[in-house]
Amino acid sequence: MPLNAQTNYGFSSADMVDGDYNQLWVAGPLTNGAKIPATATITLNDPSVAALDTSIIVTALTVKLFKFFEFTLGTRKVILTADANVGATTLNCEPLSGTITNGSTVNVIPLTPVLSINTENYQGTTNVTRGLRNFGSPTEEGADPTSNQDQLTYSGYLITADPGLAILRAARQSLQRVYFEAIRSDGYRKAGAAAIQSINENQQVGAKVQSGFTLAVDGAITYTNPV
Amino acid sequence: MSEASRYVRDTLEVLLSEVLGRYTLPTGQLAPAIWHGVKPPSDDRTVTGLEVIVTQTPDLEVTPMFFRQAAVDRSYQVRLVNHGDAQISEETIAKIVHAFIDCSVSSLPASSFAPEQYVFTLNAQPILVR
Repeated sequence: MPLNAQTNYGFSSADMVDGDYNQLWVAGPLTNGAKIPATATITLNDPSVAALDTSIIVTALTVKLFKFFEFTLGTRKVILTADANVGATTLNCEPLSGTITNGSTVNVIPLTPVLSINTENYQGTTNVTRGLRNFGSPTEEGADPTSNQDQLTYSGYLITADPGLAILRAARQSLQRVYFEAIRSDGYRKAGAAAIQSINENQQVGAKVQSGFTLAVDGAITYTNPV
Repeated sequence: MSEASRYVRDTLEVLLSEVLGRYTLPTGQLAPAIWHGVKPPSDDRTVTGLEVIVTQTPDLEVTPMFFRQAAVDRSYQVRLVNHGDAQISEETIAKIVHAFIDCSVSSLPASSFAPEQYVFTLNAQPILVR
């Protein structure tokens, strides 16, 4: 049979994902013991929001929101196209898909982007013990999972004014956790609390300074599939 | 992009002022033999001594990063062409290397087709596209 990729393998771009839209957001450092940071409320203060609008008016922000930050207001997804500082009342966004009822509110975790990265290596490791659970029953012999020890390792090039990296450094200095959301290009999302297991910086004359860190996940990761 | 190559050109003009050759322009005027442009040196002039050609068009290398960012490395090519009789000195090479430490250099010995040349690749500060 002649090799014909289309009929034999059915290649489709929808089967694969590249990393062009990858994002890593963090919040923190978290107060000791906490695994989710405090939320902030966004309230629409705009009676005339229409489809394809590229900005909305809100009550003054109590937290800074960054470009690419995403939330659902009413039933509409809002993706910011510019940073919005504390006190801002205008949010620039990608064209809206429709109207939003004035006064709509949403509670969000104010996340900060980590900019100095271009690779992610996720390793979902399970702690296991081996042994007999029921003596005399060979079918019960095997590895018992006890806990997850997931890690996310990132690397890339240092951007000096990286707000997310500043949070990671602060968390490491104070030995506190951060909250993270790692979003893959197709919308698949991993979220949870993590300690900064390591943070590194490599410098060489004549080359861009490299930056990297490893997040040791504390407890379970929440996985969210693309909508 | 041309700002960086203009900086290279201006720096080299000062740095190599003592060894730079001369263009004789169509008007008969003399000018330092340093060329900076998107086109090759104009053939409306004659040149004597050391000619320096700074390309205005950078070589670019794009590295994509998270959040739709890209790090863009830029490098500019500088060509030293020896139209004189004396060899291009090591001191001249060293001056350029010292001024633009992040660089590489290759030499083209004189042949029956072309004069002695040195080709520098000068790496500029990377830029971030967001």
